Amino acid sequence: MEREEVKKRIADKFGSKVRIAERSPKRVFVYAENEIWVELAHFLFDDLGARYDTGCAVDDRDGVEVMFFFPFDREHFFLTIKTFAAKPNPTLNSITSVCPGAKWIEREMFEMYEVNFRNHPDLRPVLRADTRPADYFAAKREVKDEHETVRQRDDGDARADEVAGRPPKGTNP
Amino acid sequence: MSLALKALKKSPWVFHVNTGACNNCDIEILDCLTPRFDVERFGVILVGSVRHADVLLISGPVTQNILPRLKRLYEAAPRPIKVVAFGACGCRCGIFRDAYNTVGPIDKYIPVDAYIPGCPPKPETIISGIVKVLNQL
Amino acid sequence: MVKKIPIGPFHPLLEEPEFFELHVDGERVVGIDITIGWSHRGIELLSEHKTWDQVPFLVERICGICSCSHPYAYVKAVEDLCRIEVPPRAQFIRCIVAELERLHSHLLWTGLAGHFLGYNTVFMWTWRFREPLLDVLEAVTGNRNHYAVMKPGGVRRDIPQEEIPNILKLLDELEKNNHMLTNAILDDPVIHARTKGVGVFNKDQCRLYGALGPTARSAGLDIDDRRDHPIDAYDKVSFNVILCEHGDVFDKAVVRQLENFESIKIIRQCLRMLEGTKPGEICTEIHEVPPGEGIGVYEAPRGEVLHYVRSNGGNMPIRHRVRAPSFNNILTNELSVLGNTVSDAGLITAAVDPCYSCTERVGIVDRASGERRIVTEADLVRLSQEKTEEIRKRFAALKGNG
Repeated sequence: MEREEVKKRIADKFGSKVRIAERSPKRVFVYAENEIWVELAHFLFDDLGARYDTGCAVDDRDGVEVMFFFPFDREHFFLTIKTFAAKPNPTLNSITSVCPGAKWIEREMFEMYEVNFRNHPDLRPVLRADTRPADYFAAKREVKDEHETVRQRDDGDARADEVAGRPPKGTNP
Repeated sequence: MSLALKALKKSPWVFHVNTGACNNCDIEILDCLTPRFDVERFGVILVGSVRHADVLLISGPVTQNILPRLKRLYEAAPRPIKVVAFGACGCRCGIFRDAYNTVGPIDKYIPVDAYIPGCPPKPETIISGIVKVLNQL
Repeated sequence: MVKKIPIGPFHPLLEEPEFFELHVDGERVVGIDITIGWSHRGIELLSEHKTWDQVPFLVERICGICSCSHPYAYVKAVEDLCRIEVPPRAQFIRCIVAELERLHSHLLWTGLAGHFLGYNTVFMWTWRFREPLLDVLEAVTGNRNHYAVMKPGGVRRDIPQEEIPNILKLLDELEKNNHMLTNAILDDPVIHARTKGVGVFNKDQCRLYGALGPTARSAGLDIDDRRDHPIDAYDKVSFNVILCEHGDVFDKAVVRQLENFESIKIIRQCLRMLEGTKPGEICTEIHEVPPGEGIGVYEAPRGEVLHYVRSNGGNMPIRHRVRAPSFNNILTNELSVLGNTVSDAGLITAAVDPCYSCTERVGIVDRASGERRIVTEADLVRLSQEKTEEIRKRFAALKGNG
């Protein structure tokens, strides 16, 4: 299965709930709405045969961007799925029902960024010292500048402009 | 010199502790046991329990997680005990000085008798350091 | 009657601290709790305060054994972000240093496993074979470990022409020694008895847990980033991906031993191709890092290392995610120790070649009585070595009986 077919099958299945951006032939990003997060992971892992790799969270002013990497080894590219868990109380469904290997990284995202993962079998800190208080979230930060955002401006993520208060790409400021 | 001290000087038993190091220092310590450097011919051996130790060789910048255990380990060590802070991380936290979870260096919590700097210290440096510690006795 | 046995955080076989709590029923392990984080220093957060070219020195010290793996993946992430190509000579140099490191790492593991099994000769020999390798690395890069060779855009140091014959001589020696070692391991019935069928983690489980590197390949999961997501010179060299099928400790050892031969093959090819490049052209200067994100992957000795960087155009990353293979691999112990004995548990947890400082120690609890037993380092190694001795005696007796 080639990269274009993978993109097409995702687009066909999820329609407007995803935005697909191809940054380079080896790097494809899929922005997904929260509600289809687990379904998307299941589709990639079980139906399309991607490999589960790891996840990452990035803290932003009004939410936490959560992403998971699903490389397609035979097709030689990395597909990254991203979603945005809005603050306060960023919450997302856990993908451990699809990939048990995600147990520890979701625990790490919880203890660093205070992202709550629904249906995680054991959501407690994995790296945090037991001498730290329970509300110590090491990577959480206060983003004061209302125009500052870590969201990427690209073809797939118009929301980044919206969040940053920037005019949409292609228009004059 | 008392008999006990003479025996100690002849054959120091070393207990190695890693308080969050990258492991390179620890590998270089093990390297000292291998045929090229072979510290065992000087009577230096690595022991498996702190209760048998004469020298505590501690590497790492001391993470928050390990700190209570490090203190307990030092209390459990039999006296006399010599403490050697090992590697750039052991001496002064190295490149992890500003990291949020490193609370070292080691001499902030337990008294240190000798420092062996290096990232990692070469086996020759390690042997030289241990010998200097022993000469302090 | 289930007991719980704590092992750690200062564990014999493992250079770094980690904590395992084994739940046992008699001698069999029926459950395990793994606590990591002892080596958690907060490197990802520290990266956000270092400039793009300072970060390689930081990430190099994530792990001392796979010391160039993290800088390699990091610089590939930055180059992915900046969309630049690295000069061919730098590609070959990177590949050579990386494969030399793989050799040293696998030999190191074999030595430690040998010691744990009671084969101290194996430990002494493999670490002795490593010494000339470390000498060559020191001559080429300036340090036995922590080579500081990788830099975004290329490498910091060229390989001097006069070092190349030394490297080739070393490879010949290593190949000979590796043959001897491999045959010794593959032929020894006691090693077979200790490691075959022990700590099995099969292919499907590997896939679900995202297991990587030799841990996955030993079970037959055909993944190797050098072939699947080739970087730099890896698409210009030919090598085999070593696969086994059972996923036990024996297969993990076999994969590592045979991978040594492949590494030697790759280094020889790179040295040949190095002759066709111009000395001195070892870096593409990066003047500005644009906003965006980059992913860099590299097949380290333990598995795939992944670095993700995000930039907003400034001179420091605003997010740097580091994922070491052991983060995925250590979790596999959840299943692979079950049903095995306590004397094997230490070996199984070490068979994934854990690098806890990449990720961040054993208690035994009797589930029925709630009794806690603490096993020290000496105890665990002794238990394992005693088991080997028992098996040796049994085999000797069988031989004696004809």
